[in-house]
Amino acid sequence: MNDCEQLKEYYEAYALGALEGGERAALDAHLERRCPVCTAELERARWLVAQLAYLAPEAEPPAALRRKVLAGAGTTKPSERRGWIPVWAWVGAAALVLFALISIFEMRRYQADLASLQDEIRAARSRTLELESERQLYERVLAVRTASGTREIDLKPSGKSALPEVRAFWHAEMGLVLTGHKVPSPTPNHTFQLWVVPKKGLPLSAGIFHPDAAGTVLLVATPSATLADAAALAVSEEPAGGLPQPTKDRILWVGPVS
Amino acid sequence: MIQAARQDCPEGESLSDSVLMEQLARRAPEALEILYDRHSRAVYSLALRIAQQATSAEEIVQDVFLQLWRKAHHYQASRGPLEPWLLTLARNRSLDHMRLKREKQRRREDTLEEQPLACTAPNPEHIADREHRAARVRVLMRSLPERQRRAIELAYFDGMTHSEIARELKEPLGTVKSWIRTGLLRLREALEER
Repeated sequence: MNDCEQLKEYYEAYALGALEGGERAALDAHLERRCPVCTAELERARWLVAQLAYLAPEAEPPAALRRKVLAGAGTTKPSERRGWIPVWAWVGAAALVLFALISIFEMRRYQADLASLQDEIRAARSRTLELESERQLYERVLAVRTASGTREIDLKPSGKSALPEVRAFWHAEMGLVLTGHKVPSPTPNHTFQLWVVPKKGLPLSAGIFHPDAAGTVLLVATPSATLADAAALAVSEEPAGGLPQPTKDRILWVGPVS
Repeated sequence: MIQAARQDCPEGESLSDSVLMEQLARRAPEALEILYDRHSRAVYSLALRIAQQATSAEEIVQDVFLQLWRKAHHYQASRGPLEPWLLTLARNRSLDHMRLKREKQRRREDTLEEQPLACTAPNPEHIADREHRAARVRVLMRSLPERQRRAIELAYFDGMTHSEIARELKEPLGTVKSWIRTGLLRLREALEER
């Protein structure tokens, strides 16, 4: 079990094929022992990694490819062998071929126009779905901010730094929203990390975030600590990926949960 | 052609992938047609993104679907949904194709028997359909810092290892590992969210 705990941080990189050296060998050796925990988690990681395929720009396979695949599988019937064919039939066939070629030329023009229109529709549809995803995010933000019982917490810059204030909205059931404007980016290879400081015990991470290019912060989180048990919120700057506990001299904002 | 096939077999559209795979194992050609119409676009898009050439992408798609046809009886629906499996196979084939092109090394034969890549969806009933999932993946990845996103793309689309990515991006190895892991964990959270 201890092995599993140590190896779990490798699952995603292993499924991605990025893991190497001793780390890969350790997980390979462990999997050879048919560990049910790691095997199941690795299957989940493979599913997750497969979703990255959707980052590929959408492209329509050519119609001829479908025919090739089906023919390769032997699912299309081969044309039957004909016997003797008279000359007049060849002449007629040639005329038909000529007519068919002209028709195909015209049809391809229409198909090209149609394909272009279909691509535009697909791109618009894809964008609509992305906007829908963003709309759901903003709806959640709005719901938390306007719900009765939402606690508003101002986080002031610690020390004498010239950082702008950031503000959190926390609803006991709907979660926490952190907002800020004109927030500078963290130093390279670092990230901002939000912490819930409980009345008793160690701070708990509530998520990492980066301001966008305009300095806007919008983080939606579901803290593991409850609002009733929280004494304060804090934001620190940590190495990329975050840390299990905040670095004391890198706490940039603090606000009491009164 | 896709439209025509759908008109010919409208009831086929409602059949699940696992039912179609059972039919495919019994050598039903209609099942291959429906599966091709359903998944070829995703497989071709991925192959084209990795191989960067339409002719190579077409070869890869042919290879993937013929593999599916020949080895359908090895597929076990209980080991996970079909599409992530197909996409994983397409990615492996595409990366092999690129490696072969670059290094002229012998192609790795990852057949169904040799590499049964089970992919378990975390909460199938909660996972949005393919188009919503695709949109969420794109939105989430766009929200990551540019270099973190680049690290994940180099691993997935170029088949690079941690240290190769660190060299390519001129970043510490630990940073690259952390970027990839946290990025993928955020992706998982976004996809599992209702």
